[in-house]
Formats: sequence, C-alpha cells, structure tokens
Amino acid sequence: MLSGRKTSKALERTRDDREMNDSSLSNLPFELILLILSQCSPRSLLVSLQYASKMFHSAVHSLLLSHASTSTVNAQQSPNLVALLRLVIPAASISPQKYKIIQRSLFSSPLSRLRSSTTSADMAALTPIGQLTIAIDPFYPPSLPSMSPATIPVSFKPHSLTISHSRPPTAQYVTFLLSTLPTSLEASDAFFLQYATLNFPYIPSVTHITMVIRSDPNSPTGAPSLRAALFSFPNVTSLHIAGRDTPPTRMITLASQGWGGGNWEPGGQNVPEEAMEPFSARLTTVMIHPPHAHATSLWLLFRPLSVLPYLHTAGFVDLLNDPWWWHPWVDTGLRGRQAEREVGTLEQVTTLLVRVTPDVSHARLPSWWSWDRRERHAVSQADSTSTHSPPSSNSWSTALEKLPLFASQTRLVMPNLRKTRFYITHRSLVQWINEFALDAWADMIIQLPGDTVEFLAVKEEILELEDLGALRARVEREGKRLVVDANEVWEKVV
Amino acid sequence: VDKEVADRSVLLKNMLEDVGESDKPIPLPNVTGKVLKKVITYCEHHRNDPLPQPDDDLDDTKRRSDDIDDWDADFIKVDNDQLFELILAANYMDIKPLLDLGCKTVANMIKGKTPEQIREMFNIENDFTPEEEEQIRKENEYVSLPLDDSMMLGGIACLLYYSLCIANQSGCQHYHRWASES
Repeated sequence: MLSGRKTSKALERTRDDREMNDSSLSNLPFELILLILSQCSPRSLLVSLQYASKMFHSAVHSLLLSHASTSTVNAQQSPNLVALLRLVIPAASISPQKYKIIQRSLFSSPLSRLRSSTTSADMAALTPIGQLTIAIDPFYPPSLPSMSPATIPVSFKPHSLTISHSRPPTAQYVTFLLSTLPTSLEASDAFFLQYATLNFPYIPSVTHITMVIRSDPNSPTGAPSLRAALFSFPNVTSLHIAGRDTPPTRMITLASQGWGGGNWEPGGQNVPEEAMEPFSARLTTVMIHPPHAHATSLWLLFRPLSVLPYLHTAGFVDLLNDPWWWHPWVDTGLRGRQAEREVGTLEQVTTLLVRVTPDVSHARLPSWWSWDRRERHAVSQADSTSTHSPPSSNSWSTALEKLPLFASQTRLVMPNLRKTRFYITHRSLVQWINEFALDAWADMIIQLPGDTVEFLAVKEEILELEDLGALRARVEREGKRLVVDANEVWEKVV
Repeated sequence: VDKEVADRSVLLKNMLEDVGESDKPIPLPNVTGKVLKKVITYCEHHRNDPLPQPDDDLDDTKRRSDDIDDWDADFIKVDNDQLFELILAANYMDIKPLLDLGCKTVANMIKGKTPEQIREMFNIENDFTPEEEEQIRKENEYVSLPLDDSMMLGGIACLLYYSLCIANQSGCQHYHRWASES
C-alpha cells in the first residue's frame, strides 16, 4: 500500500476517467486542452480553433483570459497594443511575459495600421482588473473611428472606463468608447456635454459616473453636462463629482445653473424639476469631492434629491471657507425652518462622510495651530446670531467657525443620520467634533491622516489629545460607537 | 527500470521517496502497458537531460512549438489515439517534457488548418449553429492577423520551389547541380 504525503498528493491529481473511445481531441481533460492550446499560435487560436466547437471556443477564450495576470503591462512602451489587447481580453491586465508573446504575432496587422496613423495617440494604462484608462490627445487619430461599434467585440466589457482628454471628443470617439458598455464611467464634464449634444441613445450599462469638473475656464459648464449624464445613463445609481483643481467658481457655476442649465428655480428653463424625480429616486450614492467646492454647491445641487440613502461630502472645510456661503439666497435657503422647506429633508440619509482635508499648506498656517478653544467658542456664539457677516479671511479659523452651523443644519435635513465618518488632519477638529458635532451624529468613525512624513506628527498629536479621550468617554457614556483611525473602513467607503 | 529513468516522472520519484527502497511493484492504474512502454522509451532516452525547473514556464523562448528535436519528432510519430494516450500518461505521471512534446505536436498539427480540417483531424463535432458561428465571426472581425512566421516561411519556400520548378523545366543547370548536391 502506497502512503506518504508526496505520493498521496500526486495521486490526487486526477485524470479524466473517460475512456478514449476515439481519437477526439475533445475527450482530453479541459486543462490538457488548454495546455495544448497554449502551444498554438494566436492565429491558430483565433482564426481556426475557436470555430471548431463550443468547447474549443470556450477554451480559446479561457486561454486568452489566462494571459491576464496581476502584473501590469508597461503601456507606455506600446500603448496602442495594450488598448487593442484590452479589447479582446476583458477583465484583465496583462502580464509582461504573456504580453510579449502576444505582441510578436497577434494583432500586428491592425496594430500597424493604428500605429501608422496614431502617432499622437496616447492610450495609456490599463491597470486593475476590469479597468481601462484611456488618455487621449486632443488631436486623436483619425484611425480610431475605424473601430466603430460594429467592430468592437462584445467581449470588451470593462467594468470601468476612465476617459481623460483635454478637449471634447468627437462623436465617433464617444461612440467608440460608449459602445464598450462600461459599467462605470469617469470623464470630464466636457465629455458628458459632448455626449449630450451628440444626442446618443441611452447607455444602460453605466451604473456609476464620476464627473471630473475641470478647472479650464474655457471648458463647457458642468451643469448641462451633469444633466446630460444623468438623463443619458438611465441606470446610474452612484454619482461622484470630483475635481482636483477645481476653482470654486466652477463649482458655483455648476450649482447655480442646476439641472436646468441656467435657472435653478423649479421648472427651470431646460428641465422641469419633476423630470428629475425618477433620477433622484434611483440615486443611492452621491459623493462630492472637489477640495474647493462649497456648501452652496452641495445644497443647490442636491436640493431636488429628496431620496439619498447615502450622502458623501468632501472638502467640507473648504466649502465653508467660500464667500458664497454668505450669499443671501443661501442664508435664507438654509437657515432654520426655511432650510427644511428649501432644501428638503433628506430622510433617508444614514451616513455622512465629512472629509476635512485642507491642503497641507493650509494646515501649516500659524492661525490654525494658534487657534485656541476659547476664541473658537466665542466665535461660534457670535456666529449663531450674526448670519450676514462676511468671512474675515480665508483662514482655517474662519472655516471652523462655520462648522457648528453645518452640524445643526445637518441634523435638520438629515434626521435619520446614523453614522458619520470624519477624515481629519488637524487636532482642533477633535475638539470641534467633541463640542459641536456629537449631538448631530450617532456613531462616528474618525480616520486620522496616514503615516506619511508630513502627517505622522499630526496623527500622533491627535491620538494623544485630551479631547480625543474626552470624546471617547462621552461616546461611551451616550452608548454610541467611536472608531478612530479606521483606515480600512474609510477606504471601503471612498 | 533504472531509478534514474523512473525519476523522470515526478509521480514515480515522489512515490519512490515515500516508500523507500522496495521490490514491490508500483501501480500505475491509469497507464496501459503499451503506452507505458513508450513512456519508458522516452524517459530512457532523456535520462541525462536536466530536470525541468518550476519557472521554466515563464521563459517565452521555451514555449515554441517548432523546437522539437529529431529523436523526439520521430518518437512522437504515432496515431492520434496513442498521441492522446501519451499526453494523458505524461500528465498523470508528471513528465513535463513529454507532456510538452505531446502538446506541441498537437499544436503543430493544428497549425495552418481550417476549422473544418481541425474537426476532421481530431474527430471534433461541430456543435455550433450557423447563427452562433456567424456571431463569433462578427465578434472577431477585428482580428486580421498576419501570417505566422512559419506560414510565411512556408510561403516563401513554396515560391522558391515554384521558381525552381520553372527553372527545372527550362533546363537550368544551376538547379540540377543544386538539386543533386542537396
């Protein structure tokens, strides 16, 4: 009797018990067929073998998929090839080794065609599984339209499609991109505007949109783009408005134009408010993420959206730091009972994300570090009675003065808020959470800045704060839950 | 057989390490006597070859189907039944070079064949409906592949041969001298 670890393990390897009744290749175990196919040239696979039978078709595509691995190909070396490969190898990044194999013989012909006329194209990286990022030159190649929807293989279904370009794309290029039926679409507002003006049919595959509000003052305004996006993609449930370098004015433009493209009032000139209802009802996640966005944008933008299970806000301190906060309309629209009427009660909001993340240069302002509790308290008292004082400066202290106000308004418009997640980089915010915010929000998660050199000292300082200890004690006393420094939780949310 | 020969099979090697020195026969229930004899012939011929390393697969250069040496090419000239049995045995006995040889041989047989020829050669039933086949063709319209290197070489050889034939017909002495020397 044979025994022993190695032998047992070896004998576990199975072979297909089917007798070889005939010489059919199909009777070999599938893994052996894959092995045989791996020795075949791509031409044999794609031109001949995949047509032999369904099983071989499946095997060929399994093999193509197996060419994908966790490595990422250096797209810069042959970006066009990568983009092209991605068309036939869905859900894949491509390992350098396999990539070389394919590069030798596969797709040389269409590649050479592309390359000959796409010198300015820069189809960039495709990285994690299911994602395709295409960065394209404003003068993208005339050959791309040749890859019309009819020639796009149905196997190309990236989960995520990121489009970066400096000018609105042409109709053909938009067609090309969207015919890939991505489920997630990230592009600039110019893209969406172009999409709208081209009057394309609905793209039902897209469920998540990230619209990057661009800082280019000459680019089209965001509101029509956003509106186009929301109407053209009927199954969008998740919306992320982002803009790394977005100046406040851009966001203001977007907000003030609202859905109606220039008229915020109900029944605005382009889109009646009731037309937004189906859209607002289907949105489950909204995240506004431009560092320079402001509260007016937030409220204006989502006033019609009375159903928001999750509302994520970001860059909040900067929001409050914006002069638009003092706009009379905003004042009347957001304060007190009137706020409830104007803004609507976001009854289904249960989670609020507060990302208090000024840029580092702000964090280093002396005014921030020298700002003491007594001064802050006095300011907040004054703030509750004086509503029309313009901000004295763009300092951090000015921004923080407005946070309590937001806390009260949040409680007003989000009565069912159960969880708040804070991302903080400054010790004083712990004090603020402790004194002003806790009443408004139940369980909270506080994520501290990461262990980077510039933030390490801040993090340690926060962890040692008496205020944090006081906050913990208070949370426990009130039967609430506090998680501090839950990076993994944050990552999941964001 | 010699232990050195048996060790070409990872399965046998592990078995021998597990049971130690013994005169007891080692059962190989999945391999017929005829195929086993063929396998042993292969292992005896390659007894002194370096054993394959686990990361050999990563080396692209070792994944060519046209690098079969003469002895192996002659060894693997068997009918399809036996070829598949050899592949199965090599897989079961974990003899990677033999498995590669079998797979490369099948791959070479596939090379340049039409789907219909492949079906006929390997007794594969076409279970596509015409619509399904058309759909696949449509999905693959973008694939306009170049000729394989070997096919291109074959084409060049054919052209050369054709030229030489013409030369032969015209009584070219150069051709006859070249042909007789080769």
